[in-house]
Amino acid sequence: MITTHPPSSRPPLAQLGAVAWVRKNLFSNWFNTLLTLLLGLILGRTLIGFLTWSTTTAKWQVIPANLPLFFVGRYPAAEYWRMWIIVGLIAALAGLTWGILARNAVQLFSQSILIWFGVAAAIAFLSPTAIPLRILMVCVLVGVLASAWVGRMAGRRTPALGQWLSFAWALSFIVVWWLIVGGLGLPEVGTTNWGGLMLTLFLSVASILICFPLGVLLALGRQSNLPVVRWISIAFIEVVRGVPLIVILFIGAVMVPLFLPEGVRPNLVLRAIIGLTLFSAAYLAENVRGGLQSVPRGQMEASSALGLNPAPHDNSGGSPSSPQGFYSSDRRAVY
Amino acid sequence: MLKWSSKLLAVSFSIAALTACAAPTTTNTASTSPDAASPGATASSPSRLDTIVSRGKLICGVEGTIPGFSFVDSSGKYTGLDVDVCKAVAAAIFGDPEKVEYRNLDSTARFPALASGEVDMLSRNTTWTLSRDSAGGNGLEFAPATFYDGQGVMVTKASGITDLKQLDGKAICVETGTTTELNLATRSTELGIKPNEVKFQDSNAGFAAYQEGRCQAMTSDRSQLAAKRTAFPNPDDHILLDAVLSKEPLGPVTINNDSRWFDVVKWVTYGLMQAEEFGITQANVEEKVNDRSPDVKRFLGGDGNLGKDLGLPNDFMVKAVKAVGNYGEIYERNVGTGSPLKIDRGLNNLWSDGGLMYSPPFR
Amino acid sequence: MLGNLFRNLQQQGRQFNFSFLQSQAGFNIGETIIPYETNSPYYWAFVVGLVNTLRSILVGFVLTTIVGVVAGIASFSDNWLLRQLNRVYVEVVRNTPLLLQLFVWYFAVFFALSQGGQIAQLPGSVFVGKETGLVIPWSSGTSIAWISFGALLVGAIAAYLIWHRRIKLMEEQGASGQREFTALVSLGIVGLLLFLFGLQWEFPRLNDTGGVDGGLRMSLEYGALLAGLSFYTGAFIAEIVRAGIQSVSKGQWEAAKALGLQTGSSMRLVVFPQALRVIIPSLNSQYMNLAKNSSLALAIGYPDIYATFITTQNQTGRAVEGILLIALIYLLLNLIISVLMNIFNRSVQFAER
Repeated sequence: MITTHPPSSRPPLAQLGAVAWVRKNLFSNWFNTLLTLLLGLILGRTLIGFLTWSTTTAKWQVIPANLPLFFVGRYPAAEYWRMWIIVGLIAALAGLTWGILARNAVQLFSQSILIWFGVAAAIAFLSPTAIPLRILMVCVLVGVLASAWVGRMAGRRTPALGQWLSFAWALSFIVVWWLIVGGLGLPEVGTTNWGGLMLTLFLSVASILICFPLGVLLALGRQSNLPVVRWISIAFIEVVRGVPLIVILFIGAVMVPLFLPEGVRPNLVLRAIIGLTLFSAAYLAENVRGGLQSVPRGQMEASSALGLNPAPHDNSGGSPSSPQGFYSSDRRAVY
Repeated sequence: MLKWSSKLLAVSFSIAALTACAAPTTTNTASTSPDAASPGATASSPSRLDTIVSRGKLICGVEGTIPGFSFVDSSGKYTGLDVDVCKAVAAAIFGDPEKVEYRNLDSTARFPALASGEVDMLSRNTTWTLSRDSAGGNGLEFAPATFYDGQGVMVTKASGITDLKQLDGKAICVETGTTTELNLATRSTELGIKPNEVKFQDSNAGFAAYQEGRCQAMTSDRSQLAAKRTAFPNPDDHILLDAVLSKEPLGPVTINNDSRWFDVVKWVTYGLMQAEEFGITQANVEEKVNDRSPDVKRFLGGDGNLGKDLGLPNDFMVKAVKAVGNYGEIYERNVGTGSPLKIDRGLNNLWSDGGLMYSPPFR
Repeated sequence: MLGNLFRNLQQQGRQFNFSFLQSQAGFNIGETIIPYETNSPYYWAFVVGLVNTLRSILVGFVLTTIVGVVAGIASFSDNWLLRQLNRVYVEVVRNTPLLLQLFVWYFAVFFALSQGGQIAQLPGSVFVGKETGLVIPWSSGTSIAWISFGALLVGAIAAYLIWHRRIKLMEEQGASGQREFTALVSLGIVGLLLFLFGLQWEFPRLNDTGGVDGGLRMSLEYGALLAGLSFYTGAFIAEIVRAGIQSVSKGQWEAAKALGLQTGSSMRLVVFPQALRVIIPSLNSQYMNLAKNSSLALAIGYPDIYATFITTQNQTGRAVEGILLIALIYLLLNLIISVLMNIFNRSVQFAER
């Protein structure tokens, strides 16, 4: 008796392999197929156009020539080492924080993180700048990884270290400030010589830090049952939010001394921080308010029943509604 | 627990409100009396000059992107004719040409910045016109022109345009907030043509759009066109039309009603021209202090008290010329034969050489 | 503060009043849709600028809503490529400054499309030229076209009413709604015919002298501003739409599926209307942002109201008055947007019983 084995059938094509993935994700029906082809066409044309432009028309040599101007503006070249110390400090601190926070993770350097670091290092090394600069940049990246590893080790030994992180960051802000401004033994660098990316980052960090308390204060002011406070808050928030940033910057950049006594001319950097802070505080205040309002009224009534809050609508902090409200508004502030 | 926070809130707001309200009342009482007593500015009234001296540096508004006039090079240094005028003024006040802080101002921000006291003076390709000078207009004071210019039009050679009339219906790129904008409108009305004006706040964006071919022509001061052209990839493909649309005397500017400070800027500027007339140069200024000519000696402060009268050190012109040279030297170094621009001196020659640079006597 | 202002102004011998608005402007405005002459007064220049601003804002609202809703829904697509591209678009656009994007649209995209000074033809009879601008097919504006347009409007309202009635009948009486369906389809066919032929589309075509005839023409500056604003705000709207759709609980999808609705229908009939309640309030601030951001127009040469202010304050030295005027106008614009959006919002929210 001859037994014939049934021909061993291969697994259905539509379940395994790259082809199946492509079919499922790109060509599942006629509409998707059309969409994929159309998008591919547009993507391809754009890429080709960009490549031809970047190899023929573009003039990349302006970038290395103006690199210092781009990064630090007119900061004196003799003091560039301070910038490198700042970068190193922040890199080390970032690495430490990462290491300490992720001390209990199974694997600190996952594959994708290493790939990202590799790509960043490659970009840093191939960038059209002076050789020592490239080596420094790669060193910074390696420094982040190294300090992350150190942080993980230290964090495992003394878990209490995590509580000191925010303190360390606050301290580093002061140190960075000192390094940029100078004084106390370092030559002073006036704010007129600040510029470029350094100034942008400095302004953003400073104004984000200050705008949080101010924004919360404004949001609470808007909910206050003191009419004066409420109306001032509302007027401030609505006026700032209703006017384009470019108008506020115009006033801040060239018209501020008109509103001040003779000869008073606040520092430009300070003024930029104030302007940006006021602007972002008004926006933040609305997010905080949204968060506060998202808390059901029952929570406030419950808290007042517990004797926490005598006036149900005056939830100016401290009541149970605040922690809940802030959780909800934190997420909005990210956007 | 809640009470304190709402109280804190109320207190902080009322402080803010109080300070906001308090400020006008105090300043009003302070300001009404001197204004009522002396409507015009007198020598005794507070002057920006005092502010500058006590601050220890001059704040000078410049353009910052025109090669030859004011330009930040890749090392972050300012150079150019306009910058040298700032340096001369700083040297005259402090004896040090580096005691200047530069502020880059685009054409739209310059007057508010000057009027608000954001900068002490402008040295920024600003055309002297009546409406800008008069109190009813911008309310500024113009020091003598440091560069006599005229508005020109730049086109590509390939366009075949040779005459303004051919611009009818064509797009022209313009920088907004300039006299250029107004002159173009007036000339087009005169010629009966209707060019399509595309205006940019930033002259760089305008020049970029012109180079990209958005506009058939670009109009601006002729010197500026020539200066910007040097930075083009193919400068020879672009030509300046012969037609001159306007008179553009460009000079330093200060604010109205402050004659002490204005006089300083005015006479330092004149001094640079006078130095050239006397043959005083950066190299020989120190020996010229003991020149036999009484005029030169007085000019350089070896005699009389011209500087003191202005509220400056008596040897202010020595310091200024030592710092940047006389007008001729400044010109040649920045925009003349010693520079890539190679603009002929023409109207900017001394009066004795057939130009317009003429300083009233220093006596 | 005000005292300081007046004292400082007085010291410079300048006054504070708005009489300058009556005097002759003396400058030209490149792009106008209402008549403007060089010798028109300043206030008219402001009106012209305002009209230009409104023109970019209103069209921007429509475009950005389309872009945002499409991109928001696209993030739920089955198509991997579409999802990824959509992700890249939203993240890149949300994390770079708008000014930079405007420059990219103007200098890189639109100028590159019309490379070499030639007028380029894009698919769909759209022409791009550096001086010509953007030319798209448009109704020729004859009286027949206007009548058709009116008929289309009436038809759209009728279709909306019939559609509502059909849903109501189906929900309350369990009717098949076949009759209404037929009416809708026939209305749709008539509408399509009207749209295609009644509006008398005019397709732009190249003429012998190298120009473009016919169609609707807009400047590259306007085009770049519109594109920049719509895609910038659109990315934010896309995130709002995505969050809104995600906020509708999964049970709703499942319930819709259990009723036999297909994916598309459950999105359209069940999920999206509920998501709208979350989406609309957030849209308000996005529209306000678009209105405010339109003030960056001058950077790429579009003469909006901020550009008018900039020129005016330079020619007259009235920076304080001008900035006050501008701030008031933008405040008013945003107030109007806010009020309209709140009315719209009320109409989609739950009627709480």
